[in-house]
Amino acid sequence: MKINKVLDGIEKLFFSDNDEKKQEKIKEKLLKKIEETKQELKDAPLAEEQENLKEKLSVLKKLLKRV
Amino acid sequence: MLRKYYFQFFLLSLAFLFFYGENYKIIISGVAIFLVGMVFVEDGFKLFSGGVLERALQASTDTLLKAIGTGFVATAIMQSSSLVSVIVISFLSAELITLSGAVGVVFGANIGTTATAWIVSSFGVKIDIATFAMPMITFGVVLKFAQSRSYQGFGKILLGIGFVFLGIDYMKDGFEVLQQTFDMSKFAVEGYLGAFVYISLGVVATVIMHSSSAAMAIIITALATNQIVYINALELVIGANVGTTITAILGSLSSNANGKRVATAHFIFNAATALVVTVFLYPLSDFTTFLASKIGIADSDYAMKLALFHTIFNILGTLLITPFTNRLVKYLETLFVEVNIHSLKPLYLDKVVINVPHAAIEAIRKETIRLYESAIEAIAHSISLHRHIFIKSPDIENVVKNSEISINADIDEFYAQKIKSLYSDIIHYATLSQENMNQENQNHVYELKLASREIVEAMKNMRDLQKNIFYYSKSKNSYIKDEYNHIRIQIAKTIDTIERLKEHVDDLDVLSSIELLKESTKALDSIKNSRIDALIRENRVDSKMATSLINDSAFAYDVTQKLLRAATILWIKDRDIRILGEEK
Repeated sequence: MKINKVLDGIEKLFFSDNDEKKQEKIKEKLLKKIEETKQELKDAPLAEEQENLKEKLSVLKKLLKRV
Repeated sequence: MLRKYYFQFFLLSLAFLFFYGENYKIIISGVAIFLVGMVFVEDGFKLFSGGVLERALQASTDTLLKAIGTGFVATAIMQSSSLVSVIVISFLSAELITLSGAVGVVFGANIGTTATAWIVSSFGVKIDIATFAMPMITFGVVLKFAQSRSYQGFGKILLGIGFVFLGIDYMKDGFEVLQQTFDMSKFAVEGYLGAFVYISLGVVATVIMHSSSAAMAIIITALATNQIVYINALELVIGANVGTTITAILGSLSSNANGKRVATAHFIFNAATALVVTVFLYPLSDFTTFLASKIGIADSDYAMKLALFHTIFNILGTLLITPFTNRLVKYLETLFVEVNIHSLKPLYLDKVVINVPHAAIEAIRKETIRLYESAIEAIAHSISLHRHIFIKSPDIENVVKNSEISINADIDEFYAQKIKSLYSDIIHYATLSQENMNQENQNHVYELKLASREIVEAMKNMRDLQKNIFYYSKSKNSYIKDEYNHIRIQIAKTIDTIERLKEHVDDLDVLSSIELLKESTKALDSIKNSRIDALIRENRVDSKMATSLINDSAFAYDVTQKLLRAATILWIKDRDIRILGEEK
């Protein structure tokens, strides 16, 4: 029925976002964050700061594996 | 007391009219059906929008002009300025929007509400809308029983519009029947006495019906059936506009300062506009007639002219009051002040907010953050530290080692006096709020309840730990002293990291800070890391010290994990990223 299609469309518009899409989005965000952190690591002048960023980078990589 | 009698008197009057006022029966039924329809439309939009409306309102109120536009569009679509006002007050209470944004939305909603007048005057009194009403009601009922919430919402909207149309049709029929036996138009009063009488009538009618839309529908149907004269209809409209703000003020009496501020802004806006429009009523009426002729409304089409007048009236009000918005906002902020900011009574758990899921969640989150701040005060004191000494310090280890063990915090007393009632209020409010929510929102509230429980349990776990920290700080054994300092350092570092992660905007930054901290707190798991084994083997600590240390390390580890779980829920907005933090 046409009305069903219309209502399905409305439902998708307002209530959708399947799990796969969500996972993809998180993956993208994590990859972007990893790139940003790598860049920060390159630019970091102090050894302590570099150490912190390395730790952060390894955590982000771990999180990426969890997705 | 007065309210009770007023309501009984109202019921008796209605009963009297139904039994003896044959002519009014149909009109009253029409108003009742119309109001039922409005309730369905409101409920339907709440279900159907699935948070879209809330998100739109939140995102589009950063400038006054945007806020006015948003209020206009939202109210014109939903046909309910009261629903928009409730959402706005809720958002304001949860600090999701500013008072200036909220006032802008209310101004816009006033213009948006004039859409009702246009619908009734262009369709309601000209075509037989009852023929549309029946299919709408039938389809609405069927859809209302669907499983999907969006279908149910759409069904309720259809059902509501169907009832609104049916109500208008009843009112129209009622006035036509009334006209055959009783001519109300002979009570027409001209001049400023007429203005006073009819404006007052408009106010009273709207306050009684709690709906300016219903008042507008009556005025337009009465005008279309020649029961009232045009100029008196204009005066009734002015009265209805003032009346609707009195309804809002009565509703805000039990609300917090924000609710009172918005209701007062609404009243000031409408009363000031009504005053100006009353003074210039005749020139404005002529201007409406002039403008009507220019846009193709027939001179005899009084119903449409009334709708045009209603729109001009509200646009004029917006133009007049908007330049003074900043002053109005400052005045309202000083007029109503929150009195319980420093005590631990709930600050955000407002009754009005509970009906708007998005705002209710934010209110619960903010209240839980207050609970966290208080619990952290107690936890810091129980490791003999003041928060300002170690939070954001570059060298926490030194700060802890050099601090004196002198703070005597009574955790039980602190819990009874400061935490318990706030914790109960959060749980009670959160449970009630879940009734109005979809599954996703219910889950979010469940997580927030969990965060509250973690915070309270973390604090309670500090009781036993605190005693031993105090006891072993006096010990001559430097090894056990160092071990307890190590526990204090880990707890202090946890509090400090959570304090720092609040400043992150990106959820992934918050999560990575939490994950890093999780790694470092593993040092507290004394059995796993064999730290104590070495001390026992080398005779550095006796068996009593060792068992105390094993137990207390476990308590401390538990405290840090509970605080981290609470922080994950409170400061990571995206649920999918929060879940990512849970190890499988």
